[in-house]
Parts: sequence; structure tokens; C-alpha cells
Amino acid sequence: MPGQFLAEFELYVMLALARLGDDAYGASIRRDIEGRTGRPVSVGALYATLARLADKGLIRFKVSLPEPTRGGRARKHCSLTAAGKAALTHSTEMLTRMMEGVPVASRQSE
Amino acid sequence: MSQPARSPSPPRLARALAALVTPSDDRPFVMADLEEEFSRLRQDSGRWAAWSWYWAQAFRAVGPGLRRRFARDRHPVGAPDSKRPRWRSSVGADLTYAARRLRQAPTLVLVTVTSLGLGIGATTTVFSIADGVLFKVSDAIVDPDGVLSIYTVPKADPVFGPTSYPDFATLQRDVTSLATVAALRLGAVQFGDGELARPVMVESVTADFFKVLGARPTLGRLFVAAEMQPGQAEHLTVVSYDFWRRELGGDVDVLGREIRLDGKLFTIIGVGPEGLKGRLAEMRIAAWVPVGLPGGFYHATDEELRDRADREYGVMARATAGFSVEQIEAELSLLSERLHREHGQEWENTPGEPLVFRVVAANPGMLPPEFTMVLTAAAGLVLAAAGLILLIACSNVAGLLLAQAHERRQEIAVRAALGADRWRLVKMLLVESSILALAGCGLGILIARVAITSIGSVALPIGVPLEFDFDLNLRVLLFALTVSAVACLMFGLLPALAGSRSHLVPALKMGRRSPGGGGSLRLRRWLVVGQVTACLVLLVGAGLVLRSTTTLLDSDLGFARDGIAVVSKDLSFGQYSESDAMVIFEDIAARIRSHPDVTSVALATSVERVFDDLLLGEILPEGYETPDGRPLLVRMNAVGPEYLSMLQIGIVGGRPLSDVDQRGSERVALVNEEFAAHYWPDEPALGQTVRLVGKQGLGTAVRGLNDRLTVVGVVRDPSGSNPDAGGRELGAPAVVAVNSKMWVPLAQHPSTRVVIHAQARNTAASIVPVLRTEAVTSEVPLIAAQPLETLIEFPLAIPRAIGSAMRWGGVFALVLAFLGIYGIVSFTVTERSREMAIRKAIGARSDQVVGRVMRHGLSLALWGITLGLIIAVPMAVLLRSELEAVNPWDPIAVGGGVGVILAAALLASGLPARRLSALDPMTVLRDE
Repeated sequence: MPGQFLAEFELYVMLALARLGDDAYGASIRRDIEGRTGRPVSVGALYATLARLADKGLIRFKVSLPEPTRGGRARKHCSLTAAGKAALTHSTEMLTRMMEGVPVASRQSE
Repeated sequence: MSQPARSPSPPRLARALAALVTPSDDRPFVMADLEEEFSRLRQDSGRWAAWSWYWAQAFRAVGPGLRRRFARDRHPVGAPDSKRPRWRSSVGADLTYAARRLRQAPTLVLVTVTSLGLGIGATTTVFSIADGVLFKVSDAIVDPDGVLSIYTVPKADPVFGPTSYPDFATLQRDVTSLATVAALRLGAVQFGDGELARPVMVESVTADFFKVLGARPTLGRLFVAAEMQPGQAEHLTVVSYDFWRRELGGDVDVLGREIRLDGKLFTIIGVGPEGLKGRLAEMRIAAWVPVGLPGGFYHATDEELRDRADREYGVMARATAGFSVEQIEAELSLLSERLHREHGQEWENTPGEPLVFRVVAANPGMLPPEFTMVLTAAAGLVLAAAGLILLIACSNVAGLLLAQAHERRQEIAVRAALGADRWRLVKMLLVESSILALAGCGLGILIARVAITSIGSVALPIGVPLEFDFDLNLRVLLFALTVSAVACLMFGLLPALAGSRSHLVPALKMGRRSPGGGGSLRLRRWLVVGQVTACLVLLVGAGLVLRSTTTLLDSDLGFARDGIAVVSKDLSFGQYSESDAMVIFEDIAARIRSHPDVTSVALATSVERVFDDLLLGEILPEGYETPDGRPLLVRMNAVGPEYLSMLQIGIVGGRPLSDVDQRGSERVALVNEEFAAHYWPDEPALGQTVRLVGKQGLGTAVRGLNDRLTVVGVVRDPSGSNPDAGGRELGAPAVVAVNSKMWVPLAQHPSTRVVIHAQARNTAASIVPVLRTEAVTSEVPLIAAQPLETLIEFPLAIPRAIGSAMRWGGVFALVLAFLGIYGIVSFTVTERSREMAIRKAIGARSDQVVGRVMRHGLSLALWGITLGLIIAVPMAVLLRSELEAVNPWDPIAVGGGVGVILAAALLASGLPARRLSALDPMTVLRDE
């Protein structure tokens, strides 16, 4: 859905999804964002955001079978849809364009 | 760092919280994620870090979780919302919003919920009592609509009376359209013995009683016909479920045990079905016992069971399959005619007027229809009064919400400007009202619960324990909910409509200070006027009722009552002759007299004024023509020689009764002044003759006497009694001389039933235990031992209760009206402070300004008072026919009501108006 802008936290989540690929599920996404931004992430808020992104058609869920270990759990894996990929590309592109020539932003981004 | 995990799982409470707030489709994943991170943290950073992390996560999940669950699309109220049906999408948001708003206005919530709770509580209480008495049918009865009640009724006069035992036997034997017939009789008996004995209610029933009801026992068995033969019935009992649980501890080994009722031992053969109560209005009863016990039980002697004229039994029946109620009626009317032919006088109400059987279908509660009608009407009246309170409460809440709506104009205008249509705004405001209504409903049910339990057992001075189990059943709860919903609409809709009327531009531009809302203010004024009206009606009504009761108490009754205690003693069901009974009574009297605290004892057959119809004489005053030559029924009291002096009953002519009036001496009587004036207007009453042709007592009648009584004295009538009404005769069938009374010597008219009067040296209460121990043995007395004063006040208990209920309602209404006036005046003060400041600035004095505003509040009160008087006076005139000594213009009641309201109105408008006097024009105008 080109032309659609993502909110900041949504963007983080989408980026984490893109990076984690097949391994993207609640706990791993949370760790990824927390680890990189240092910002504490609430599991409840993360799932609320995931649900919202899914409602927008940007991501899709796949529930895995429980892990074959004792106490193994089922996971709700997330992946980007085509629209999600497009929106992510669009958002990051816009962000890059906006950062051009901004000294503070470009220095941080380097 | 890693420690052996003593408890590897996260904090349980936090986990529950997180699970609670997370939407169900994500719950397993969220919980698993939390768990995973928790155990990782425990390994890496220790237990405390993991624990606090988990708690923080749980708390932070609350916000997003709730938002997702209740307001999936969080459109601000007013924002267009196309995806979902508008109605569904926003209720969650409205709820959240309303809850948040109400939290900010705790006073508003407190006042509205309390008002509504009281109103709903009052209506619910009245409804559940009416429901319990009139409509409730025990689940233990199979097909309750098929239960018929049969009454014996005078042909001309539809009074649904009881039936005699022989008539019941005939119904059972001869009527083919009735498959099963049962008779029952309610009675009070003494349960247990000695000090622990206490009265309980039982029903004496015939063999098919339980069959008619279709009831099954909880334990053991029910009666069978073989053990219930009249005169040879066995001493067996089926105890009620309730009694079994309360008194016998719900013990399953209860079968075969014996309980003592009125001194006789009964073997328990069964426990009745759960929920089956007495047939009369679901009264709580202890046990069922057979009719026709050898030697009699509770007045049911063999003789009485053979007496066709002794009508004491309720009859219930089931129709034979295929017969309609009309067919049964037809068969019963033929039977009535046959019984009249066969039994003549015994089957007549008054000479020449035969009786008939009447059937009332679907009446397992057995309340006679005329009773049901009266009770329904009474319940309706009380319900209307309770409804009035609810109405006042609603109007007050409406007033508060209107004020709120006025204050919220700006907010509403913003919403409207954002695109909210009117319906959307009304809905938002109504959601708030329904939260208030629901809270009020909860409080109301709570109040009703408390009230119902305390009302359930009615303490009567007649020694009979009447206990009802009113409960909050589903019907009652539904009623409360409906009432609340109606209330919610009543108090919520008007403000919502008024509030949602958007005057966009002025409201947005001028904010709080803007004028407008004139319509809603006018509405509020009318609501307050309505409250004052209702308040005055209730206060005046309460004043009149309570005044009438005190007037009655203070009035001259014609006899003294201080220090006198009474108890009744009844030997009419035993095998005693009247003279035997008199010996026993004299013996009891002598024992009581010998007690140091007692100064004298007197016997009488009636209690003046309260139970003065226990004995009625059928008389023909000589020289007076009665209508059709039929005898007059007159209240008669057969008294011992000490009686008149003990009660200080004054004699205006002739002599009192004394020891000279013995069995064999001249037959004499005293009459009251009205009696004398009415029957012998032109001659002195002394020396006249009254012919006594019959006597009637409780359920007994003696006819065919020819007792010539000479009038030897005239008794003073209480002052204030109306001589014009004297001796009035009520018409056929029984001609009753209303205000005529007669006293005769007990020695000449012995009785098996007396009321023992005893004079105490100190207080009447001090000798009540003496009377109880000496007179009450195994049976329950008709009149329990008590001070005469208490007994006299008893008939006033109901008007007093009504009066004080009205007074409390009035006080409640007064508080509401006070708040209403206060609210309006203080609102006006705020709104008009600018105007008043200008007035002051151009030279108006403080008192002029204050007076202007106060006049406003007082005018509301005056309107309400005028309307209230218009309603209250006709009401008082109506009340006059119900209550003695009510003067509709009673200055204390009417003046008091008006005065109290005026004082309240002065205070309510004075308090806020005083703020104006301190008003500094410069400050106000600068603020603008």
C-alpha cells in the first residue's frame, strides 16, 4: 500500500520482522527492538501493534506447531505481506529522503 | 548467577492480570512470550529482576489490552466511522468515556445513585411483598392452574366464606366433576413444652390435601386415607421443609421422632416438599396434621366436625378429567339447592337467604377473590407512593444531569462540530445515565433485600406468629431492572435531548459564560416545582395520618387503661361445659389475684374497643320496632363484678353490675347512652326490657333464647363521640346497631372463653409474665398476655406504619427538593453574577440583589406548594373516610408541611444568594 506512512513503533516492528525473517515471533521481535533501541517494550503493546498491522494487511500470522521439546510452545510467527514490504520500502525511502542534508540525522544514521 | 529455581513460574496474580486483559486470540502467545522472557531473565538477572519485570509487563498490558477489547476502533465520539454499524462500534468507547467522566464527579454519582437506590429500593420492596402475597405459587405444586378453591357464599352477598366439614364431606362424596377434594384449616398451636414452648402455625388437613397439590415429600411419606378417619385419626404429622431445616436441624433421621404440639405428641412421618408453605398467602407454617384427631385438636372436636353450620375450612379440589369449570359450577349449584332443601336453616346465611358454593379456578394460594382485590388495590396504592418517591428521585437526577449538560455545552458543541450527529450524542449521554441507573438498581436491590427481611415477620399482639417469606425472585429482579430502565429513560433522555441540542457557534465562541440553555433551565425549574409538590403531598399526608393516630390515642375512650394487662383464655374446644370453664377461670383469676404485684382481677368476654365483637347479642329492645321485626346485633360484654370499676367505666344513671347479680337473681343489663337515646328516646332507659334471643361468638352461635334483661344502669359514652350517629343501624342481611353496647353479668352469661384483665400495682408490663405463666398452658391464646395499652394501640400500627413511611418519603422528598432549589439558585447566581455586578455598580444595594435571586428560588417553592395543596386537600378528604378524626385542614399537618418547605426553600435559596452580597462588582467585571 504505497503512500501509507507507518507510525514510529509500527516501523520498528516492521523492520524487526524484515530482519528476523522466519524467526519473527512475539518474544524475538520484542528482544530485537529492546536490544537495538534500548527502549523497554511491553508485550501487550507489541501484540496490539501486531494486530493493528495485520488489520491493515501489512503482516500475516502463521501459528507454528508446538516445539518438540518438553513444555514446548506454539508460536505465532509473523511475516511481511507484499503490501507490508511495499509500505516498509515506502516509509524507509521517505525517511531517507527526509534525512538528506539534515546534519544531526545523517550523522546519527551513519 | 543462576540459582536453582525454587518457584520457576511467574507471579500468579500478575499472570492472571495479564491473561485477563489480553484478548483471547492472542492470549496463549502473549502468555508464552511473557513466560519465555521471564525464565530468561531469571537465569540472567535473578529472581527479583524477573519478578518486577513480569509485574511491569502485566500492568503495561492493561491499557492496550482493554483498548483492543472494548474499543477496537478508537474513533473519538463524533468522528465519522464507516466500517461498522455505528451502534455497535461506539458503545465500548462510550462506556470507557462515561466511566472516566463519572469518576471525575464523585458527588454527582453519590447523590444520583443514592436517590435512585432509595427510589428503586422502595418500589422493589413493595413489589416483592405484593408478589409474595398475591402472585407467588410454590414450585412444589404440580399444575397450579388446575387447583380450584371452593367457598361457601351467601347468594346475595358475594363474601367468599369458609366451608363446614360436613359440606366438605358431601363435596368429596357426591360431586362427580371433582376428582380430588381436600379441606384444611389454619391454626396456631404451641410447639414444645414448658419454658421453651412457643407458638407456630400448622394446617389441619384431610387425607387428599397433598394429592390435590400434587406435592411429593422430601423425606418419608405423606398422609394416607386409612389413618385419617374422622374421630380416629392418628397423631401423625408431616413437617414443613422449612421447619425441618430450621427447628429440626435438617436431620435425615427425623422420621419416627415425636414433636409436641399443643401438649400432644405427634409422630413425624415425613418432611414436606421444599418451598411448600401455607396455603394462605404462602405463610410460613411448621407442620401439617390430620383433621379429626380423637378428642379434638385445635378447636376441631368431633362435635364441630358434625356441625354443618360451623364453617371453618378452606376447600381445594381438582376437576375430574374432561370437566370444565362451568360444568363444575353447574353441578355445585344443584348441590347447593339440594343442601338447602335438606338442611334448611343450617344452609342459610340469614333466614330465607340460602348459601351457594363458588369455585375460583387456578387459586392454589386460596386467597378469596375479594381479599385479592383489596390487597391488589392496597399494593397498588403503596406502589404508587413508592413510585412517587422514585419519580422525585428521577426528576432530581434529571435536574442534576441537565445542569451537567449545560456545563458541557462546549464539549458537546465540539463533538457536533467534528461531525457527531444528534443521535450519536444522545447515545453517549444515555450510556452515562444507564451506568448511573445500573448502580442505582444494585443499591435498590440491596435496600429491598434488607427491608424485605425485616418486614417478613410481622409481630402481632394476638399471639399468632404470622411469618411470610418474601424473597427476591427472578420476577422481582426483573421488575427492579425494568424500573431502573424506565427511570434511566426518564431522567436520562430529557437531559440528553436538551444537551445534544447544539447551538454550535455561541457555545464554541463563548464557552462557559454563554447564555442559552434557557430551555433546559425552564425544564429544571418545572422538575423542582414537581418535587416540591410531591414533597408537600407526602408531608401533609404523613402529618394527617400521624395526627389522627395521636388524636385517637389521646382521646377519651370511655375507660381507663393504665396499669391494666390482659390475656385471653379459651376452653371452648375442650370437653368443658360453660360452668366448668367458669370454675377454671375463677381459679386462674384467684391465683393471679394472690400475686403481690396485682391489685385486682376482672373477667370479661371482650376487650373494650379493640376486641369488642368477640360476643354479639341478638336483641329486640322492647317498645322499639326493628326492621322486619328482625333482631339487632349489638356488641355485648359479659363481665365480672370488678370489671366496671377496674376500667373506670362511668355510670350516668342507675347502678353498676355487682356481686348481687348472680346466676339465679334478676337478669340485668347495662346499656350505653347512645343505646338508651336511640331505642327509648322519650322515656328513661332504666327499667326497660331488652329481649336477648341469641348470642354469637367466634365461630359459635346460640339461637332461640328468650332472655328478658332489665336495664339497671346507663354507661357514660366517651366524650367526643357523636350522638347523632348513635345507634345507627346497618342494613340487611344482619342488622347491626353500630354504636350500641351492652354489658351483662358474666355470672348470668357464663362463657368458655374469657379475657382476664388484671390491674398492676406498678406498670402493666410488670405483671405480663404473671398472666402468661398462670393463664397460658398448652394452647396459643387468641390474645397474648400484654398491657391493655399495647392492645389498644395495635389497630393503629398500620396507619402509623403508613404515616411514618409517608413521613420518611416526605423527608426524602424534602432533601431532594432542597437540593433542587439550591442547585437552581446557585446556578442562577453563577450565571447572573455579571448582571448582578452591573446592578451593584450602578447603585443597587446588596440586599436588593440578594432579594432578587432569592425571590426566584422562593417562587419555585410557592408554585410547588400551590400545586401540592391542590392535590393534598382532596386526598385528605378521601383519607377522612379511612381514618377517624382526620380534619383535612388540620393546621398542624398542613401548616407544618408548608412551613417546613418554605423554611427549606429559604435556606436553599439564601445560601447561594448570600454569595452575591459579598460580590465585588469590579472583580467580577474584570474577570469577564
